[in-house]
Amino acid sequence: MPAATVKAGGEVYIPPINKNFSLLPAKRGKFFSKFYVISLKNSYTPSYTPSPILGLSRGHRMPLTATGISAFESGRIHPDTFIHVVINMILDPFEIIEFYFYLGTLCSSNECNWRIESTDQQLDLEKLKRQEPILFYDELTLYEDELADNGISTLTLKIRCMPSGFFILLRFFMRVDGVIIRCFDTRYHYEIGNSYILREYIERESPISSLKPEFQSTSDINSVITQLKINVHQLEKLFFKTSN
Amino acid sequence: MYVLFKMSHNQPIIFNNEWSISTTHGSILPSEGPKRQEYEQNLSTSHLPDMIFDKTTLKIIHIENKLEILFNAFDALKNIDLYNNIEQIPKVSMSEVWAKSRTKDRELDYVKPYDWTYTTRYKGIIKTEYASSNRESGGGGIHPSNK
Repeated sequence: MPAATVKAGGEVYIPPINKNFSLLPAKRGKFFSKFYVISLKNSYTPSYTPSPILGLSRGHRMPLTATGISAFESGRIHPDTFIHVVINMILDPFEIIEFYFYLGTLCSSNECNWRIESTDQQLDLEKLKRQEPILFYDELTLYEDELADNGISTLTLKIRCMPSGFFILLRFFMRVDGVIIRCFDTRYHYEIGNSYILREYIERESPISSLKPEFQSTSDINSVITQLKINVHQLEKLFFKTSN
Repeated sequence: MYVLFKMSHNQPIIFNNEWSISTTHGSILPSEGPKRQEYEQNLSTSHLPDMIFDKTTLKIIHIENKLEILFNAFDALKNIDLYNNIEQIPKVSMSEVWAKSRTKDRELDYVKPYDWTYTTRYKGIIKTEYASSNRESGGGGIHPSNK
């Protein structure tokens, strides 16, 4: 990864970002030794599609504005600071869209760590149900087995990003036909402004014979799990910051 | 206004300037061959689900403090308690009838029971980024966990 070169009032060279560019440096300490916050104003045609931006980022030289450069010149940069390139696109006078290219993180010797506390605070389901724009969504399957045609066992993941935060559901679901349904859910909910992520873990299971007939053979997992007996219910706060 | 921007399929998005979120998707682990063998060796078992998406991952990183939440199949499979609590492992609905009709079949005794339902209590792993000295970034393959 070539280092970016920055001169206040001059030009900025954005290093080519290739497809395989990895998020974090493979070897500690062998990455950037300097901090770059690069703010670019561009005169490109406004566009919501990423391609012109990507094109712009690959080895282009752009006139540089003064934003962010003072921090760079002062040299007083906290080593934990992450490095990014910011491109401001002014689409109209009232809206500035910033694109971030994350280039890596500077390393520091004092590492932070997660702090886990159990809590009574419940997931705010109302907030999660609220209509919000989905900024990012993905669904993943980690494993699946049809139990030799005797049912199903799956481990799946869903992630959803909204302006208010992000939400993750990791679900282990297992059904042995005519015998048992088991569902272990782990939910992570982060709300912007919080210093923690709320994590909820629930183990549910019931013999199928104990379920009402309409739930015995339905494929609607979400309706079935409300009928299952809860055996374990844990709530934890995962703190990633010490303050507030 | 913050906009999430995904540069390509495997590139992270930066959320609110604070979190990096990335997912990787991959094909099913082959049912045989060297990759499979390595996977089974690392998990010390060949009792594995039919479909394992070994390259599928979700990674959330708190950028400033380098804290990570990681989800992958390998760690989830490692959390399966294959041989303990055998009496709690469900049996298929026909098992009783089947077992009764084969009481003389001594072969039954030769199979070591295991959790064929692949029940995992895996919650994902939270860890400190760089906690392991030998980690490679990107890729999304098997990561050593320090759960």
